[in-house]
Amino acid sequence: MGEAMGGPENMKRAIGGVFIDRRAGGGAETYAFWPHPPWKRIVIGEATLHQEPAWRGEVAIVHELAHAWDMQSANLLQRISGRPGQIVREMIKFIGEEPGPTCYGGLKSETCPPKWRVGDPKEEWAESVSAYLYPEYIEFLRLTSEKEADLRPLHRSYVERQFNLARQSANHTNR
Amino acid sequence: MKNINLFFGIGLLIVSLISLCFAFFETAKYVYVDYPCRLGLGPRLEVKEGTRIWYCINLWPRNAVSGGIVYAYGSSNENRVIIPRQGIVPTLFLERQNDILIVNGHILNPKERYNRFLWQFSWNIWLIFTANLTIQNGGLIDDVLQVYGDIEEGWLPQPLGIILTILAILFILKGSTKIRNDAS
Repeated sequence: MGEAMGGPENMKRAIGGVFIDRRAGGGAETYAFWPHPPWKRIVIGEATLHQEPAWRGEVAIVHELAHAWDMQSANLLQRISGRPGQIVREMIKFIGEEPGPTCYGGLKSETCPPKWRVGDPKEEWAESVSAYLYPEYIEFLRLTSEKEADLRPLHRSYVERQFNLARQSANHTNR
Repeated sequence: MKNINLFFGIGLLIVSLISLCFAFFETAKYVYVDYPCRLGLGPRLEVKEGTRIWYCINLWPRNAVSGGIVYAYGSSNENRVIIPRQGIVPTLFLERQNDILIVNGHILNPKERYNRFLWQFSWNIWLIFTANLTIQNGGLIDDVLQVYGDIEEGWLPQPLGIILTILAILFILKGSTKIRNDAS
């Protein structure tokens, strides 16, 4: 993710810095309502972090960082009220009716679990970032449980644009 | 304290307001949670030979900005699974009879669902905690009965909060009237 943003410093600037903590069990959580660490933090379970193949653990981290990235684009009121940031709000407008990449991320297919068909733009964004950086994640889903999983053109284009913006704003700051 | 009504009313009002502040934090959405049951990144459970029931139940927490986590998952070589009580959710007894699932005595054919609305008084005078429980018989896959579930946490306002606040105001009014009368 750092590479895609043009380096760890750019990533820190875009996401605002996150404290990452590990714990024995459970999935992953992101406390993003506070602008700075240590309150702005990701807590991830060992079993989620260390999966086979290794990229699955990395996808889990990237997914959480994408949440933190969006929250960095939200104002304080939006953060404490659990509303999405500017990144997700603009994504909703940009993608229109295009299905998200995965069942968890707005695919809304008949083959997805009923609870997930409602869709959640915040998860759609996080899954789009994961799918953009880890194409093997989508391949894995297609082979196992979600045959329609795909990072479609508008989603891909939007994520790409956000990474470009992160790189550009960093270059602009450095000048 | 000369004026017990005023003392009691103010005390009650303070308790009510503190409780209201806690209620805000108990219902605020401040955390993204991941991952619920799914084959992507959620728990992967190898189904060994002889497995009779496989189950995975998600929890969609009250404080979650988005996402869900795993409430319970596992498998059993027997036809019966007991998932112990946690918080508002009662003990779940899952029983398999061929492709039929029995959840706490309710019979579910393949693809059928068992829905139950759960509620519980909170220690907080302003809140009632709720949960929508859904258990689905996912049918047989390689002679293993698949059980899926969702628990969606929520909340409702508890009338006790407003009742105690009105009582507090009445006590304060009564107390202050008595003070005014005594003064005149």
